[in-house]
Amino acid sequence: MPAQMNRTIAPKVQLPHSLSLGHVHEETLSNGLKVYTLDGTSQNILQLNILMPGGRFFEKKRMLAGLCASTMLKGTNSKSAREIAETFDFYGATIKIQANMYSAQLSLFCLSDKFAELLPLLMDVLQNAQFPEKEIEKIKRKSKQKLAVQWEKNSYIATQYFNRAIFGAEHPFGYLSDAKDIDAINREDLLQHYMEGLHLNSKSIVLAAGNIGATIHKLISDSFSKLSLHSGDEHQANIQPQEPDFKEIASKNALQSAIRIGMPSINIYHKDFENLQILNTVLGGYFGSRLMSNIREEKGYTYGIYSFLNPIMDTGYFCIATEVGNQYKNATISEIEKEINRLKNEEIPAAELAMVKNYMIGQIMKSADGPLSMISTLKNFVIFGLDLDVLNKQLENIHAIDAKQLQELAQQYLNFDKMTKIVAG
Amino acid sequence: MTNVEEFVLPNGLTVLVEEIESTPLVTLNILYKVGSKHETPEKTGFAHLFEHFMFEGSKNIPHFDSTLQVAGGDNNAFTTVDLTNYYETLPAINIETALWLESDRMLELDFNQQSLDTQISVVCEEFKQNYLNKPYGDVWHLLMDLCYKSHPYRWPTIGLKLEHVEHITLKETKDFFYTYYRPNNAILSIAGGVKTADVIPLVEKWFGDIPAGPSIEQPIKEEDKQTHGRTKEVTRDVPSSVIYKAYHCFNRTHADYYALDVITEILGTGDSSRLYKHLVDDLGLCTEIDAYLSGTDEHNLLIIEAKPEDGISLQQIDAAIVSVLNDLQETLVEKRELEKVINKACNYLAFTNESHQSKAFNMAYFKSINSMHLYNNEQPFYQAVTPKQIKRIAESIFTEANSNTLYYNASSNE
Repeated sequence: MPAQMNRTIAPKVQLPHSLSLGHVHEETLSNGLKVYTLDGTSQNILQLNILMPGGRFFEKKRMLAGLCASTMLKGTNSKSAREIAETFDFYGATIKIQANMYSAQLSLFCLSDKFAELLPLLMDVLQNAQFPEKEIEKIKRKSKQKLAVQWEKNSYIATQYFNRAIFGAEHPFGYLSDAKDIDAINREDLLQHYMEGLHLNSKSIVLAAGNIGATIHKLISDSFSKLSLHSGDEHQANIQPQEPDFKEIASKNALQSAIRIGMPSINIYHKDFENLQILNTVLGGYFGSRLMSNIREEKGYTYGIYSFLNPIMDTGYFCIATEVGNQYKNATISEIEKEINRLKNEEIPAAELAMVKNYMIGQIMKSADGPLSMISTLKNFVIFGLDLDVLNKQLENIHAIDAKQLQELAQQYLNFDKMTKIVAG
Repeated sequence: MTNVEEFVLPNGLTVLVEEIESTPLVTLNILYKVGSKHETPEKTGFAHLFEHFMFEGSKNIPHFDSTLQVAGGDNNAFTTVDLTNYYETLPAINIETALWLESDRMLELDFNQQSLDTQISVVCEEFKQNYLNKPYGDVWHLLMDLCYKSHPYRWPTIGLKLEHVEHITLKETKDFFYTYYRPNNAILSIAGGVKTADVIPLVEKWFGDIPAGPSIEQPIKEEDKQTHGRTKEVTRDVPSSVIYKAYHCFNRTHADYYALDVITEILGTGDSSRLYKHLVDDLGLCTEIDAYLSGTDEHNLLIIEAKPEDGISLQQIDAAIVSVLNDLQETLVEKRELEKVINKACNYLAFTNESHQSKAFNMAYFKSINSMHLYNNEQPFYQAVTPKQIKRIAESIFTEANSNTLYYNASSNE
């Protein structure tokens, strides 16, 4: 053991300037479907994701996308809900379908040597879902029960009203979730949404990662290229400018208040997007952020406070979210304002900026660490027509940006007075 | 198979290292063998509050998080009834920063009243956010109190009440640290893109001079065998009622543990499980039903929870659950059903083992229960489970005398 060890001196650190990304195999099948595969997990596993444009944006009726995704596994023209569940479970697999704002997503996790057994059923669900009345009713009751619990949570209430203020009450991203809308959905609606969005179409993308090898690769190409695809419609998810709103919603859970503060913002295609992400990280994008240090670590007003940029196709918004003790509600809002203004009025000190840069580089390395992390990262890029090279671009941006540029970005994109403020509690 | 290098420093620190070539990252995990079961009933929530305090700066490093972030790392921690666990994930080349940070906060913390006050406030907000201000937030408090009469598992890790956390003093914090946060009560594990030969001297350099603490001989209060069924009924302002049924089982290291896990899966995970098929599909009694193990080192509970369909009483569900449990006692499980559950377990294990972060924790965890032979090697234990074993265990566990039932009624349903 070295005798003169000095514990006050930090060990030297090193961070990469570029990433060696594992090989992503990209292929367009004869029917036009895009397939990405990432081989090379140490375990005998497979993760398959199918992205389809079947999210809320494509709904003909409110709440339809979510209900459609939950009911899709509940029967095909030859298999009952129970047979489907039994088969996936028997091979130890997990399958989920969920609808997001824009896309809908099917995820399958299984041992790679069971994939061949599961594939026929997967294709059946993708082509022949039947939406039996009995199952629809069951899912509707369960969804309404869950929704009722959600409306008891301040965080849910605040997010709902925030989205309404940002997108407008009639926009598919902005309407308030209502049990009555679930009641109004019938089997024809579900079938229509399935045929138009959750059925594979020319906008769908298949991604697979794991211990894949030639056999599984061929299985995927062969089965998916046999499908005839619908043509996907072009849509733009524009946000109509809304007036900034300030709303306090009284709920019965009065110990804490949920706060959402934010505004429409740029999307992933914008030249400033990656740099704005860096600014957001400084403000509230990680555990050591300014909002967290000030409002949690110094003042103890909250268990957590975060900010994020949410890009959704051609639009996006910026949001700060927290739950605070009721007595700290106003103090928290004024501290948020202070922190936003500090970014606009002062350059970020060199040490803090260096720290944020290194932290973000570490996060980028994590997002490319092995096929499973890479597929999760890639999934978020391909729906925008981008690929993993974005990571190297992000890395370059992080190395290049300086405090002055970030201050200008804050002045351009963050305006507390123009932000919508929602408080539920 | 895995290749874990294991050694113990003279001060009692157990060290485990596994090289994983495929990743440029590394996870350093430190498990302290102290959880809420080591607390006294008058001062609950202590272990968890202390976990927060560990991030408030140490003797030579004022800011834990930012120092790690400079090295490209991030971290988290959690406290359970049995243990407190900390981990950092960072580029493997910067492993020494994580060793420096963890060793410094094991050496000595910055015991500062202001930091303690802030963390007490943060934890009180966490208490409110997750337990008081949330529908069904008090379920765990009610259920644990019903199930355990003397064992300290009877209070959840967050603590019995806010007041306990509010009154924690700096002196108590210091005593706690010098009792439980000593190298001889900790397990350090490292998994990722490092070379064992490079790491060992670094571990010795940073941890070698930390003095050992007293050996901890604090017997945990035993739980007497339950002799009659218990029921509790509460009414709360929630949208729908819920029923919880919990049965006392046995320790994590018990030879029947994997069979118990299999039973839990047969009963209640997924839409092809017995409880789902019977109560949701066939009888239409509930919208959701689930079974799981509490996952503790000692005295595990098998817990079943269910939400009723409109117009169905919790008593009806209760009776239907019992009949499903009885069936396991009367009829041997078919081979195919057993195979299904084993496949699910293998799937879960394979996905877990793909992550070096899970590996780092699992190593430390199995070491903490003296069961390193299970690390990366649980599959054979699932495969060895037999239908007869399942029947025998079901017979011993699923009795009225061993049951704890919580009826959590929605006030709107009255």
